Amino acid sequence: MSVTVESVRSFWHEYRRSKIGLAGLFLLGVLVLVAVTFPVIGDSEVIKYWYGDLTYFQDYPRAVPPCWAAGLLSDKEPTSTIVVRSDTDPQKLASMLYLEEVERGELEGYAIVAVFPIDGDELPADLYMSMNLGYEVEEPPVAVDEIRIEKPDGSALVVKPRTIIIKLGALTQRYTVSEIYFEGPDGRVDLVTVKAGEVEPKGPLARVLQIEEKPASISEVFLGYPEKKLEGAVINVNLRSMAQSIATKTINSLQALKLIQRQFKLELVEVDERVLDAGIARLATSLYNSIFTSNIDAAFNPEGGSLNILKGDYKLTIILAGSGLKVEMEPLKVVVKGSCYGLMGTDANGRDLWQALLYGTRWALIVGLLTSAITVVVGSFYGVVAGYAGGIVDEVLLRIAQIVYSLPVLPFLILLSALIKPSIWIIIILIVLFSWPGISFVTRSMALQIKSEPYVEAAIASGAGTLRILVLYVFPQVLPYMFASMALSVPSAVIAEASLSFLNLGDPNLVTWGKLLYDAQNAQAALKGYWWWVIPPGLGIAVVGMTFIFIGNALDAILNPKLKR
Amino acid sequence: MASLARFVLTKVFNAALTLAVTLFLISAIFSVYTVVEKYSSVREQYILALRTLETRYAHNPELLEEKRQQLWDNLLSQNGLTGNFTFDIINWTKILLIRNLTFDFGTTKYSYIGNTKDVGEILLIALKNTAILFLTATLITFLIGIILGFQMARKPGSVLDRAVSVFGMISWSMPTWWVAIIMLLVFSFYLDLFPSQAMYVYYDLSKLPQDLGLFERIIAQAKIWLYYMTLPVATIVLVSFGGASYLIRNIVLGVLQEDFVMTARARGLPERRVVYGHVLRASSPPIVTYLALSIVGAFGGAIITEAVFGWPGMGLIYWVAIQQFDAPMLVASTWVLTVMFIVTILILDFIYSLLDPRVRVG
Repeated sequence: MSVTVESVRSFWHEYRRSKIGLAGLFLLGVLVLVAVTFPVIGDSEVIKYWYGDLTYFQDYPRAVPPCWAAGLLSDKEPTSTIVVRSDTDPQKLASMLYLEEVERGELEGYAIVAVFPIDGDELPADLYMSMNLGYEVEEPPVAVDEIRIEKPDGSALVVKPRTIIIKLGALTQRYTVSEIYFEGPDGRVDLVTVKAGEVEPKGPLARVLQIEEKPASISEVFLGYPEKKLEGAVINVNLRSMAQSIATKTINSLQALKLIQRQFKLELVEVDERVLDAGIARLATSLYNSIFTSNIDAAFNPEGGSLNILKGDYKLTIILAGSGLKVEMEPLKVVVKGSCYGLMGTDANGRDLWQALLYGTRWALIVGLLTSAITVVVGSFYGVVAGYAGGIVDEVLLRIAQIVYSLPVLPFLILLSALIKPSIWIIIILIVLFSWPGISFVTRSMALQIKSEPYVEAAIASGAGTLRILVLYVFPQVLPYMFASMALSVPSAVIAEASLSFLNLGDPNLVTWGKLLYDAQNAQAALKGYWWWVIPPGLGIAVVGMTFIFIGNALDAILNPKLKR
Repeated sequence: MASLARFVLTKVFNAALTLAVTLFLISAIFSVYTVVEKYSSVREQYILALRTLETRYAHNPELLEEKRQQLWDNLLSQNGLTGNFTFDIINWTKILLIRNLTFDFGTTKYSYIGNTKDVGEILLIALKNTAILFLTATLITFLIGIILGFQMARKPGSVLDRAVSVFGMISWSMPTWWVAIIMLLVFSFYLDLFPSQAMYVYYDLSKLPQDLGLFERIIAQAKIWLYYMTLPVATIVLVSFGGASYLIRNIVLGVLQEDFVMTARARGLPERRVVYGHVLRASSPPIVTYLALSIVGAFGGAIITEAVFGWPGMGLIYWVAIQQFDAPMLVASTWVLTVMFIVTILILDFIYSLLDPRVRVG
């Protein structure tokens, strides 16, 4: 029974007739292709940082569904995630984040301009840009003259940070209040108007009370930035935290100013009721919301219906002004954290699950094929030796195999892995250690049968050595069975490895499907409805398993004609 | 009857041998682990204490050497070690052998289920719960398997036959615990029909009012059990019934081709009686063997499934013990599980011998 071209051809001819076998072969081809070409079709960087450096993933939204599904499952269109970095896409970044010189009366003015697109109906979770900024001014401070966000429909949200300085005798108090208003097609809606500059204290107060109003300095708007000179530092402009800081300053100052206004009967600030009613947190959220919609009522009233996010390009302009101001800016990145990401969404750390899914194919195949190959070779060899040797050797070997066979595999694997914290190669060996007996029983009885065939007896009689008989007569007959059972034992090996990984007992440095599921279970993904994190890795395991069951069944039907129906 | 006795004796001997080997393996593995751990902890304590010794006896190197040796010996004996590594391992293996053999595992410092820290008691509760879940699931699986398997075998190649066969192949390649997660996602998160964690079943049972009548009490208890058990049982059944049906179909198909079936049909017996009288009787021994094997296969998956559902059984114990790295608990539960497992297989072997007349008569 030697292998010839003819026999391979006739085998293939027979195999081709099995639909399920062809399906298995096709799946195997796809899996191998994915595993081999991962460096090309996937992103090895993501895998490198997966269990290493989580800050690598900080620019990606957390636990969001894949984009294609987010649109299917809800009538709202998802907002995609945009990450443009200077090291990957400098040209695009330069068109999204740049510096402009602007007229500011007698002062020099610079505008930091960021253009970002919003393409869905969902509020972006976060929106920020990062840049290398340096500035210097002759006469401090650098003032933040205006923050303006122009929306796709032509309306705008304008924030003008103002500092009100009140001098009462020797006492000087500074309050930072932002003038906030909307410019829309229907005119202007004022939320906070600062009138301190127009107020003239009258009567006896005028001598002791002085009120001044001027643009707020950069240190009051972006906490901690120097007022005179910054020599190139990386700064992040985050719209959410900017809204937070404007809201905090405004509400705090308004509260303090309320007393002064009442006491001196002056109107320094005119405030819309919606701002007065909101606390700091509410105002911050409302401000952030109102960036993306022209429905101000909805933005300021969380229960008041849908936000109607405007789609299109937004333009954020931050105008810095100062006498003799010089600003230099080098863009680093623009990030819009949307409500969906990529092909498979992200996990709770913002990691791209699609990459791990692709990469997991590799280890599933390696573990499955290697484990089953070693298992089958060891098991068959053991069985053949036992069966061929016979007598007391057979008895002892059979008993040992039976003992191993009747151990509960998984508890033992769990115990051993927990005690020795193994690498993937040790895990493969451990799985082999518990799974070889099943095959050895079959090969043993095959060897017993072959041994008593007349041609083997004839060979023995003509003086053939044991090795010669095993290699020439026994193994060629066992071989077909070995191939079928190799394919059929892949699924249980893959599942065993995945089970250990799912218990966090696998190789700690590898990204595998089981590990993904462990992370998902730890984050209670199923109870939070993160289906894109839970379903794909398990399907991957099932597909690998099915591939080999299909192939194994087809092989079995050809190689063990007794089972033919 | 002599052959039956021989059959049973061989099986009991095999089981005893397996248990002995397991016992020795577990004790030896854990003994190596314990001794290595103890040595490293002794070394740590030694280095810590050595610093104070060195400053105290800095002026007297001879005395320092003597005190140093004393310290090392003291620490060793405090931890039950002798200093001879091989001897310690043998010694600890002996201790652990006795502990395991007498099921006297002592106490754990962690909390598991129930209000007890006694390892034996915890394992007893857990085993009971695992048995409830696993037996129910296995029973349902086999009822479905026998009904479907017979239907498939009566009409091989039919739509039902092919559909269930393919379904069996697919479900065989899925990890049971993953299906459990999906069941939670669908029935707990999306449909909100069942609880996400089952460990409160006893709490709910204890909350039942005391003054219920017997009948009402049974209804109320059944409701609670159903509420908590449905998802775990459904998961195990869903994953295993396809494979069970397929295997039973193959067994029955083989029996159907035997001569006595043709004889029965020729005698004009109704098909029902042929199938459920003659065929079922003849195929029951291999089905029982398969039942034993399927328990082997499904067991591992089922204990992780328990952990996913928070079912207060052995699986949850394993999960919690791994998270806290409670090695004594891991060893005790592995041992108890193995004993249970081998005893179950032994019982099934015994049932097989009762069912198969060839074994009985010899």
